[in-house]
Amino acid sequence: MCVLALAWITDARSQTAPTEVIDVQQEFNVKGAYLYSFSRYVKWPESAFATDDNPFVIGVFGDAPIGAILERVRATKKVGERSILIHRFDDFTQYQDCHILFITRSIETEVQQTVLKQLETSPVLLVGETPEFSHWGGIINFFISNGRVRFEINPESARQHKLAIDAKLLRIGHVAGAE
Amino acid sequence: MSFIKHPSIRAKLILMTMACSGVALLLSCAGFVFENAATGTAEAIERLQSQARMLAFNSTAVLSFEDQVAAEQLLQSLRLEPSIEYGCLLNSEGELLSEYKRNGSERELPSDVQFDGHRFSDDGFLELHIPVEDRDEVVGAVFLQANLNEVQHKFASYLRIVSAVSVGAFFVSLLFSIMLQRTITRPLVQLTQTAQEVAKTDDYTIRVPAAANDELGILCNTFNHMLDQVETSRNALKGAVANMSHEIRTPINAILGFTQLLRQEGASISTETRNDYLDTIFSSSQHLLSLLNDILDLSKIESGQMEMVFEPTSPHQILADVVSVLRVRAGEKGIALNARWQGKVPETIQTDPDRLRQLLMNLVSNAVKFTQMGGVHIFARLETSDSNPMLLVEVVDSGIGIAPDKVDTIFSPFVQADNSVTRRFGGTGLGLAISRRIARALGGDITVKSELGVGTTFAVRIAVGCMDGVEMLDGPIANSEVHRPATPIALTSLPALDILVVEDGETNRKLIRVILERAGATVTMADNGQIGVEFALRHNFDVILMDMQMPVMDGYAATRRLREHGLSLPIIALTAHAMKGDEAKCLAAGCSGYLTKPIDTELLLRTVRDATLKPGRLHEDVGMQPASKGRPLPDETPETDERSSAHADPIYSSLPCDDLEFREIVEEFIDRLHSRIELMEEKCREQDMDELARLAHWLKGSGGTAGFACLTEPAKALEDACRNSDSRGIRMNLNRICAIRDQIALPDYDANAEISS
Repeated sequence: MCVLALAWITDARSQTAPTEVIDVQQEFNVKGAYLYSFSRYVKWPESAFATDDNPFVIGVFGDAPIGAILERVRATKKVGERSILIHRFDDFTQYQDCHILFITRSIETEVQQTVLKQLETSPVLLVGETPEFSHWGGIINFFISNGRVRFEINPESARQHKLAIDAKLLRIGHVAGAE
Repeated sequence: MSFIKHPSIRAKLILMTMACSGVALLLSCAGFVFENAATGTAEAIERLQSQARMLAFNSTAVLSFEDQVAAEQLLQSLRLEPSIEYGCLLNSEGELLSEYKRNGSERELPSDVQFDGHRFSDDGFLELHIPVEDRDEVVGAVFLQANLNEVQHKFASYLRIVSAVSVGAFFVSLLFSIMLQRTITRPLVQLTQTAQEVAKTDDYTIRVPAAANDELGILCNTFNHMLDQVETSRNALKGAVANMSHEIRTPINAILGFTQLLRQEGASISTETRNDYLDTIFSSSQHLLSLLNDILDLSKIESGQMEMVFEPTSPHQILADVVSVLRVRAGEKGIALNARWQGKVPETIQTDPDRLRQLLMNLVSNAVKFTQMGGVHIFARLETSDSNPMLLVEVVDSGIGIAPDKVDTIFSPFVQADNSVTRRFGGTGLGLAISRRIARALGGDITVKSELGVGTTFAVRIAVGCMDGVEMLDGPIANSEVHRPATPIALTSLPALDILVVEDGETNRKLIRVILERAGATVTMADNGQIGVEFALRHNFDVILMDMQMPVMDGYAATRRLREHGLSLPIIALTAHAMKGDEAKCLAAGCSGYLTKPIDTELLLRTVRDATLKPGRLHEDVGMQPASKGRPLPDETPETDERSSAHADPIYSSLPCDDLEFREIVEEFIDRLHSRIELMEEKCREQDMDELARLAHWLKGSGGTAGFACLTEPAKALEDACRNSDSRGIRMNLNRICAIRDQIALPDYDANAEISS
């Protein structure tokens, strides 16, 4: 099943390689915005929130010039009625429960794999920017194509994490779903 | 084209209906078309909007993540809507993310794209700009451009259909109206054609075929009815003319025949025979005259030439006149004739006195004529039922009666109850026709009820006009009872008057002279006005009889000339004309009286006598006989309490009152006495001495003439008192005169006479 799930093919993807980047800051601004946007098209199970007042946590594992944008997001946006909390850490021992976890490409492969394994069943939207991220069990993976930030989605993985992904996102995410 | 200038009724009707249905169709057409145009556009906008919204809904993620490929894919759905020529997705900065262009379209994204909702571009495209919101955040916008081809196309085809239907409906309506107008125009055309034909050919037997039950039907029926009436009256006229010519020929034949006999046999016949012949000639001439008068009257009424002059008229006076004239004839036949007023009688009514007299005379003389036994009773009263008061006079006779089937026709000219009537009773057959027309002209009508062998009742009703301020009286009765056959009545005799007769007709001159001389007057003749004036100026005549139509100088001029010279003697006009205007003319010229030709002997003598009633000129011996006893006449007018009541012995005239002729004179005097005394009282109150003196002067003369010599002295005294302004004397003598008046009575013919008030 995993293998099947990993069989995403898109024209754009085959064309692209994470090589063309206009501007790093711009790239991470977009990614930061997207991280927020994802919250709109994903449904977390009720168990992901203790109370209605609990904030929505966006976690960032690793280095990335994403602080400013995320700060803006945190300050100005909400997820539904919830306020947003940003949690950045370099060491996974510092991990706290997030709703969205962005693992940057600065983290080594093994660590990424381990983390992914660990969080296999947690209702966390695992977002990465490393090729094979989706293979390892990630749900959304950023890539650059034609100077633009794109992403791919692994719906099977999302299901494993008990997350429901809106069809609109799937359409954009260029994922040829398993079903 | 004549169709345009003079459209027929048919064309008008059709045009009217078509105009109506045309307008209706046009208006409803316009309404539908406008409505369709408006909703068509609105629908197009709404459709486009809903599509835009759907697109917006689906593109939130696309715009959030600015996924161009996905955007393109999404926009492909626009292909399904053929009118959308251009569509695009704009990001939150208003930058183009992806666009869609229909095949071959040249559309571009306009520069001023930031508007809300929809608008129409200059080149007639519908443009839509919808913001894309994800929850409450605007992530971008949808912009669409659509052509209105579809809308216009649909509208055009709608317009075509509506027009076609309307035109079709119009023609169907035209067809219907052409068919339906026939129901109106066909009878109308028939009527028109028939009328034209009747007018052209003078054929009054043509009739219009009966039509439907509407107004046209009524018109046709009325038209036919009118033609019926024309035919009837033509036939009647034919009959009448035939009758008339027969009626006229009969007396003329008699006149000619007997005149011829006289000339031929002349000396060889006896005086008795000669007198017989002469009587016949005379009566035939009279009959002819009355026939001609009646025919003239009838034709005048029929052609509306008879003027009715309405004035205050005393109804009881007229009735009394009629009765007094016919009393003689009734007396001769031994039948009763009386008139009774029932209830209150108006003192005067608004009507034409001469015509009313003619009418009543006709009916009463008919009644007398057709009654052999019993009598004629006249009942008169004022009918005040509903708001329209009418004078009702019923003439009830016990004569031969009229057969029930003839009752309706007797009012037709020349119809008498049966053909033998003329032979037995004479008459012209026009009397009732004239009477009815007079009655109608006076605002009423005549009705008849009859039973053969029992008698007939004619009921005349006439309008009385305005009754404001008219006094109501208890009417006296004019009364004539059955009495013994009268002895031949002597002609009125005249005092020895000097009479001048100015008349150019020789026969008339002779006739008048004989009458006057037989009556005791001296007559001087003049051939024309000129000679008449000369004679009159040279010699003091008592009265002049002036013919108005003469050569050299006519009566009007002569009279005027004499009056200019200061002659105040009575001048009585003689004229052949009988119209109202004529009398006025004569009076205007200065005449004191007026007689129409042919001359009625009695009337002539009476007029002359009346005109010359002057004190001192009359002799007292007019053949008087002692009067008989009787009861006093009731007063006509109310009096004040100062007068003494009439309880003393009655005073009778010294004239023979059982001689009807003289009785009349006395009656007339008594009437006049009453009114003159009233006038005296009035003048006394007004202190008008001159007028009072004049009245006293009259009384002085006429009292004696009428056989009341006892009035002469008080009247003279009164006159003197007036001239001396002796108010005590005036009052005393006036009282004396009144006292005498109260005692004056008229004896009855019979002890069983009825007098009621």
